[in-house]
Amino acid sequence: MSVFHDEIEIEDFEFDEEEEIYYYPCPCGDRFQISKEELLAGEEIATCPSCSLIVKVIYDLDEFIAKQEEIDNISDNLKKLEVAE
Amino acid sequence: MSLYCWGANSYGQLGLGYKSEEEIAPKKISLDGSDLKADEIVSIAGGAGHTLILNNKGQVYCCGWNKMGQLALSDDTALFTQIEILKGYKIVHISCGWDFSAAISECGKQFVWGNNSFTQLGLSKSITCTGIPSRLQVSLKLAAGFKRVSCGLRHSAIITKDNELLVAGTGKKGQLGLGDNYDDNNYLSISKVPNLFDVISVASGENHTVCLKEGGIVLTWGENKFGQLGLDPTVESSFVPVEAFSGEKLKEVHAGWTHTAVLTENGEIYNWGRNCYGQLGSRRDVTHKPEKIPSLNEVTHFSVGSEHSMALTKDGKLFAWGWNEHGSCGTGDKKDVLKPTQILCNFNVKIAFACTGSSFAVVE
Repeated sequence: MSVFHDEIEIEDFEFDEEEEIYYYPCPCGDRFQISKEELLAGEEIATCPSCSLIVKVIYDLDEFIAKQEEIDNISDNLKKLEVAE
Repeated sequence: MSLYCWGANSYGQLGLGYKSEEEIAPKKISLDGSDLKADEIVSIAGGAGHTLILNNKGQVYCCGWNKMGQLALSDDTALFTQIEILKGYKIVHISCGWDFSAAISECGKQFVWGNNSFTQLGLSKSITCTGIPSRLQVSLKLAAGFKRVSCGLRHSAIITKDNELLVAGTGKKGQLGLGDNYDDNNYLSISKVPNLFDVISVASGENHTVCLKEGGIVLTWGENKFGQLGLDPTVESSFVPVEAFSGEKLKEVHAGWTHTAVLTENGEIYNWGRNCYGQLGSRRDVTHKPEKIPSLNEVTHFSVGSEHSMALTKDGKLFAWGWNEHGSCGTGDKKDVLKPTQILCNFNVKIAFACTGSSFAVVE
């Protein structure tokens, strides 16, 4: 495993809601990326599609899963509400 | 005279008319049919995927990525195209952040465009991005006009007519220098750094800022993970300006993403910060303490990209060093350049600019 270019907190990534991908700028001009799915599976390495640099994502897996479940619950409830109406 | 380019080109930011992963060896840009003339170029700045060129007529040309409106054109372009909206002003200074742009006119007006989601343009929080250069309007208490601006990853620092410093964008890592209690949510989109006067040069990095005061005092603030503030890296960050360096006859300051540099009047370069790809241009046991690059003298023009640097000497020789995975150093290969290495050896170089991952030179 090569050395991390940097360690970046999840809060400093920008989340694309449509793609469900987290992005952080890479010094080459492209962006490090990691999907929500990968993060939920415990993956912590974000890669840049244009170069060899990689960064470690700093996040708490349990907290991240809990937060996602909360978001899923809210959207489920919203759907139920819509159906009820 | 001709304009040459090399380095990252995935958004067409080199102005060659096409996109490519990178251009390892310097390539001549054909300006045939363009109003842009190589010998009129005074400044070139570049962000993640876009480039701005300023000429001595005060006109601004751009190319590359336009996703956030950073080109101020209706679409992406891989050829240098004049920014129409700025035509009514004589622009004298330009700067590019990651995905945003700024220009200052001769009369001290500042125009900003591109991404504003971190309020890095200094515009209201309600504006996420703009493709139209907007005049930055602030109260007279903040500034009567602007002289210079340096855009970083997600913040900007602006020298006012009175040589004070305004800052905009995120200050999460301390890069705005607004104090220990700083919180993005409790601040306006643009603020003045308190008790800071006589600023003559400023530069913004990824998460840090450096400025030079009259009398030769260099102050830094923001993230210090790699010693870029000139402090021992055990100090994580500083939310207030700290003195990093001082000396007689200092000319200007520069910032890479995680390193910092000073050019002196007699053409020496002192730098400190991260050195993992050769950013400092010399071997160091301790990287957070300012040291002179031993092999370089009589530097007349100096510029710093994200992780690479270029220095032009009095006799027209161009030297490059630093991260080189995309050929940003112009050596014709991808090996990191650990010490200043002459490139474009067959040319008399007039001026050269290191942008984020790309580089440009005007040669005779």
